[in-house]
Amino acid sequence: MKSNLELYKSLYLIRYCEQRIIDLYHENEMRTPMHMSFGQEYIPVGVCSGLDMKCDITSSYRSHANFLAKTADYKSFFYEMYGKEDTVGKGKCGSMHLGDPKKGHILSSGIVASQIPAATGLAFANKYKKIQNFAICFFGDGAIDSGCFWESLNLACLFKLPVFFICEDNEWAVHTPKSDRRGYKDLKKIVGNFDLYFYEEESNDAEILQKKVNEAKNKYKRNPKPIFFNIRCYRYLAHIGIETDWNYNYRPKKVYNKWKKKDCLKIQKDKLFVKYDKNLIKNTEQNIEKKVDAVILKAKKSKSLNSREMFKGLFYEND
Amino acid sequence: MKMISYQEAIRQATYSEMEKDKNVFICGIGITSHAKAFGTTEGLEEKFGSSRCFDTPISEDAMTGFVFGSAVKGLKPIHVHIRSDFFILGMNQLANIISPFQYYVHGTIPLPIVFRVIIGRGFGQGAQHSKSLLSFFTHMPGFKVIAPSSPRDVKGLLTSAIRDNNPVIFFEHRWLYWSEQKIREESYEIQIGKGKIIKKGADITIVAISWMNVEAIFAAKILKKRNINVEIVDPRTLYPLDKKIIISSVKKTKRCLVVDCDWTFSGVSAEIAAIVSRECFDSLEKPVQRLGFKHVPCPTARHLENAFYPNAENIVRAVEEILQIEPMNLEGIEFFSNEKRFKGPL
Ligand SMILES: Cc1ncc(C[n+]2csc(CCOP(=O)(O)OP(=O)(O)O)c2C)c(N)n1
Repeated sequence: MKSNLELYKSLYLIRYCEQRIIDLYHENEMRTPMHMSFGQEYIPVGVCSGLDMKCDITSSYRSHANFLAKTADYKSFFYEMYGKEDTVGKGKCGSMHLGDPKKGHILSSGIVASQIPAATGLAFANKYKKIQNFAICFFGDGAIDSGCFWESLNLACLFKLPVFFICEDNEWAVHTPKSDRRGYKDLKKIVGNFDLYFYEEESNDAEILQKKVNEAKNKYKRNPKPIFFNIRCYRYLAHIGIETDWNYNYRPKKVYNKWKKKDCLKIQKDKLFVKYDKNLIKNTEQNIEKKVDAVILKAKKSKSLNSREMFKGLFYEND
Repeated sequence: MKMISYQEAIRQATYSEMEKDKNVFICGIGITSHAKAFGTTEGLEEKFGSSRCFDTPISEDAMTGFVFGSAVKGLKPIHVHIRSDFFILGMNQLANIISPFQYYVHGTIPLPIVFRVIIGRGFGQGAQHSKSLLSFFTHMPGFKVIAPSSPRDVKGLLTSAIRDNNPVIFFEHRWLYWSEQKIREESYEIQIGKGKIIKKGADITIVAISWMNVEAIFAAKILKKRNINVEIVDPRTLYPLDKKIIISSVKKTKRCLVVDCDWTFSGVSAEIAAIVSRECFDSLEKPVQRLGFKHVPCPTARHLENAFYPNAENIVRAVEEILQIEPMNLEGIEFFSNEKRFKGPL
């Protein structure tokens, strides 16, 4: 479990990294389509810290917050965005396929829901080897429309796997709301009927979320069953890209205003003001900014994978 | 050395790898029920327990991702599909998750997965229970694809496949299951990516895939009667393909017929023909010819099904055409069928 300050640091790192993408994207040096986490950061931060980071995760193409919450590796993050060599993916992954399995972020996938099944296998391996570790799949509400979500849920429950299904429910799948995609009224009634622990959350508060996740983990230990969280959140920016999309009028701005009031960074920061000196908070933020800015400068100048090497890495090479 | 069937050879390889490495497990729809996936999983659950040998829900899509995830965390799954028609429900995981994964991590994470995929003909199985689709899987980067045609090869290649740190798709033709051969009782490896000359000859090279090796040998015996000596090359592994063995054979015989166990259009046979045409251009006396499934979904009625699959008769006729000799009389020869099973040895 993380302290308020640690939670805030993690949230701030994500927010600031994405802010830098927004500032710099026009330079056209980060040539990878961006699905921004902006506004939704509390989910991976609260979930991973609720498990004391002892987890392996898979995520969708909306991967920035997940990657940074899990690995805090902002260097690899920007090297990958700039398509540079000095990262695990060597620039072959970009924004949609961020991952570093050795640091517990197994993969991010651009095919809706396709990252879900792998988490059941990760969990199975942990159970098989008796390792006290959880697998987490993060996915959008749109992924619930897909068959492989239900297949994965079913087999996770059947095998009683140590896995968290985390639905990042931002209401929208691109421009289609849940109500236009679901032939049922109440997800809880359906998912809740599986042999699992069902949770809902809409606080936007990473601290509350981490507590609930921790509690769920303990429930698993007493009586092993998978865990499902439906976590409401709000995507501040367009489905893809770095801009807002109010001008398309497909979703009312007043809903945004409501969520903005309980912005997940603001919630944690308000708590810090009670405990800490303003300057300390300011320093913490500036520290993160400095480090991130330095990495971006380095990334820009760093070398890229020679295209002669593009055939490497298709198969495992350390045998 | 002991006479052992193809299905028993599969069982032995699985058994000894599971015994040797506790991270090896096997799963698949119905594999623990009495049919035991054609006997290939016989005794595994009893010996290794139901955590290492288990049945699964009918969820090929999720189960493909499941075995992938388990392999990332150090297990060595063997995922059995009694038909390739069912296996392709996992295509999303295969093409979108497993194919690019190793490339994303630049070759740094072992990913030992074996998909055992059973293909082949039954009787009147129709369009959804008889496909091979070998070519689909050679087409995508990131997989090794193997299709052994004898008990000796299936045992050695399955052992190598289970020990390999990459995803392997392992095709087993049902009609090979009853074939027998004297093979070593202890476990052994056969190198993935190495083909084999299964019959030497000087007049024409037949490159045959999976079951088609049996048909090719039968055809070779028939052709021998009129003094035509066929050389048969079994690539055994379709990816990575042993180009050298094919090229050097064709350079010697100057003629080439590829007999695939799949549709021909855009298939493995087309790939082999392209390689041979380029590499043996100066030696070739005739264009490379190909045989494979007819370009229709597999029909059910027996006479149509017979017309769908190539067999030894078609091979004899194709060879005669390439060599420009009169067709011989094949009356009275009984070709392989669901009733007239091949019992080996090759
Ligand atoms: C299988 C598949 N179908 C369609 C798409 C196109 N697509 C990309 S994102 C998306 C919406 C997904 O929404 P959701 O799962 O709620 O995630 P969010 O983008 O809101 O995080 C769609 C339909 C896709 N990537 N994959």
